[in-house]
Amino acid sequence: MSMISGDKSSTEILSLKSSDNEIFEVKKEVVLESITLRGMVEEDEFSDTLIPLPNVEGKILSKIIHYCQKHTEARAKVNGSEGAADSKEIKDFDSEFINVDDKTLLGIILAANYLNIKDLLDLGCQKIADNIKEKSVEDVRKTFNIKNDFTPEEEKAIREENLWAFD
Amino acid sequence: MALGKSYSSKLKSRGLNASNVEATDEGLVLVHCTRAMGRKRIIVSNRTAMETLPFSSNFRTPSKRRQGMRTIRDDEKSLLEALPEDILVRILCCVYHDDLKQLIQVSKFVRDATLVAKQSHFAYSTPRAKISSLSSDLEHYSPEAPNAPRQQRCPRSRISRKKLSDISVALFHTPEDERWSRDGLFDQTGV
Repeated sequence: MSMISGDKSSTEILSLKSSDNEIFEVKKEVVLESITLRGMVEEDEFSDTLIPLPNVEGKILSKIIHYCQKHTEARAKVNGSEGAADSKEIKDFDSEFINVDDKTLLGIILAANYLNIKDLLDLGCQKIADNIKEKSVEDVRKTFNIKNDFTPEEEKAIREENLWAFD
Repeated sequence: MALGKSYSSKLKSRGLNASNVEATDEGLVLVHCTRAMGRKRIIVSNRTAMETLPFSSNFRTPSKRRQGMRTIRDDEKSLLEALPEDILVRILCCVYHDDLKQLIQVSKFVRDATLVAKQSHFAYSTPRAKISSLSSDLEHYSPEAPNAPRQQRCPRSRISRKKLSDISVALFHTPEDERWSRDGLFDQTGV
């Protein structure tokens, strides 16, 4: 393992293993984007071994690592006084990154929640929220394929009860 | 419907009448408890893995929606309903106030999450101004008063410029101006 600047953490490589046994070799600084993994790494339990992630499948883990890499690089650039110009680059990256199908989006959100990557979780939640905003009840049900489990009486009661509650 | 003595006594000790219990093919026990829980079915399993149940999402209790990972099953087509409640609450905190009225009617699960979001987030945040939804009609709509006369940014002075120059004194002036302004001042003040 070559050391360029002498800073071990920037060149140290960790291995992450997905639920479907895919192994990803990732720089430690990128892994530390996840608060969950940071806790594991700092406790020095997995310094030389694989970190198993039985709850995250390979396809999703690959995307998450890509996200963390991009954000780590962007943060390093800002610290190197290249200005806030990269924030537009990051925003463009984020909007393209999160533009995925529902199943992948769900996987990303659940994994970001488990791995405790706040920015990614917020990004995923905002994406879904944007699909909910300004939609009628029926539109929300159609968009997300939700079944109406209220009885007609319950529906009527809710409508009347909340007529004033949300004004 | 033989459940075995030990099992019946277990149910009795929990206050459940063994006659309300029925066995299913999978070896599970369905208990109809009409006392504390109303008409809800309580599934008491003599197996350890609840995930082997082929039941629909209606039988999932709130305790199963823990923070963390849930496996995504093929029969779950709804994105929102596949999420744990705490994540759905997080999502709902990103919507607008006006959307809460609609969300509370979508389904029971969404309603519960909406109420939590309302209490924990929306109770402490300001609704957005309604003007933003009428951005296309800005020129015809004023948020303050519909028929109020338009006021100019810089109110027009009632004193004409000439009169103003007669009564005003330049406090800070250049050397070129000093000669005429001083003369003007002495003329008017009589000093």
